[in-house]
Amino acid sequence: MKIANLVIYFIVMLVLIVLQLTVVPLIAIGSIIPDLVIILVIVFTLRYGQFYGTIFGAFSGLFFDLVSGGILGSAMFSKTLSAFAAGYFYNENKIEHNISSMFLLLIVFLCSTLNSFFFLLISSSEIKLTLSHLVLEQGILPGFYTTLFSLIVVIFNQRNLMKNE
Amino acid sequence: MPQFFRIFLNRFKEYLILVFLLVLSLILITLNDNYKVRNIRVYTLGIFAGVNSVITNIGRVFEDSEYIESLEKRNAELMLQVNQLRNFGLENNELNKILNFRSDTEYDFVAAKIVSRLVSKVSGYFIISKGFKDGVENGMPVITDDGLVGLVLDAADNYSTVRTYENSLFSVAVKDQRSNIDGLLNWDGRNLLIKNVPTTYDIELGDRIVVSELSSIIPPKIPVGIVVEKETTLSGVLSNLRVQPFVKLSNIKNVMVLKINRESQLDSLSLKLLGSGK
Repeated sequence: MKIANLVIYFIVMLVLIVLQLTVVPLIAIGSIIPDLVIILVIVFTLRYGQFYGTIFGAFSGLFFDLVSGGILGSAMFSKTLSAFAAGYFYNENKIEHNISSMFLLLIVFLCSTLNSFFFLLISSSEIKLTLSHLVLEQGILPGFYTTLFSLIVVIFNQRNLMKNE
Repeated sequence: MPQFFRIFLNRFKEYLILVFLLVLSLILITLNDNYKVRNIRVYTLGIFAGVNSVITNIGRVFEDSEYIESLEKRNAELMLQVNQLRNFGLENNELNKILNFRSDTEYDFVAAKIVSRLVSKVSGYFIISKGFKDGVENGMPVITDDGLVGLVLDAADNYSTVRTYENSLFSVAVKDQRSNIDGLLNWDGRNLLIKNVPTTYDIELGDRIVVSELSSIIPPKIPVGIVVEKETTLSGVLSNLRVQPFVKLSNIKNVMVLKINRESQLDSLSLKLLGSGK
């Protein structure tokens, strides 16, 4: 892993966190919003593996908690877990394929659903929520919304891939 | 032995780092109210909120922000006055003999923009563009011209975090403005609820809910919402009231911080209690 790449990912992470807190709330459907940071965490994990991805997930989650004003540790917990889950789809022989094909949408859907579910579970310790509410409204729907945004990554990567070929 | 240890680390490093990071995040969750952790948060908030503020302001280049702020401030003052008048009308029959009723309509406002927001069903937070240097302190209520929004949680020099009513940790003592029945308002992840109100109490659908005099943090009579549903529990003795808030959090861009702190509010409550005891 090159330091320069790491710096680029860090800068992109900062930009996405700013967008997540300022622009993304404008396109919220009720309380359902896409999570741009988790897309980056998944792409990072698919590129550099489960070990580094888990650390990057934890770091981005911690940073998000610090600057968003939310419960410190909640996004860190959920993003660490999601990055670890995304790590199971890492294949060093299929890195470009994984991040530029529709396969990425499936991974993003699964991992962002997990992320939303655990983020809400950790944040809602004070109140009682039904499992169906947690899974459907606060898991699958935000996961689906995030997946729509990861289409941009797929299209961008596919174009890059075609140019290189 | 070291070789075995190295092999073990290599083989299970992913799981070890996962467990370590998850435990670390759980420890951080338990340390949320720790003074040092809060200081770190306030520090990072102060740095990062500036960046957020720039992005938010780009979307508002065509707005006359000073004019809007003054209008918002005037609206908030008028809202409190209207609500106060409505309250006086309802209380007039009961209190017309009490001549030394304390006035509590004179509040100082700080107009602020919402710089960023954490959208969540259970942990709603805003970051606003005014902080300690503007006189904003922890615990100050945040309102709009429609009613209550939340409370200041942490104040940095130029920015503050606001815990909105859409937060599982938010609760406030409220009352029915018509019948003066008190209750505790909470967010259950979907709705604002006043739980466990005896069914025999005089609360009707459409009643206005305002902050109660029992609240030691938020000044009384700030409008909160309207009763839209009354659900009786299985025992039939108690009911839960669903309150539709006056302020729709997704639509607001500017808020007002009421410059009133916990101590002075408690003082005023104590004085009121003394006054009513005469």
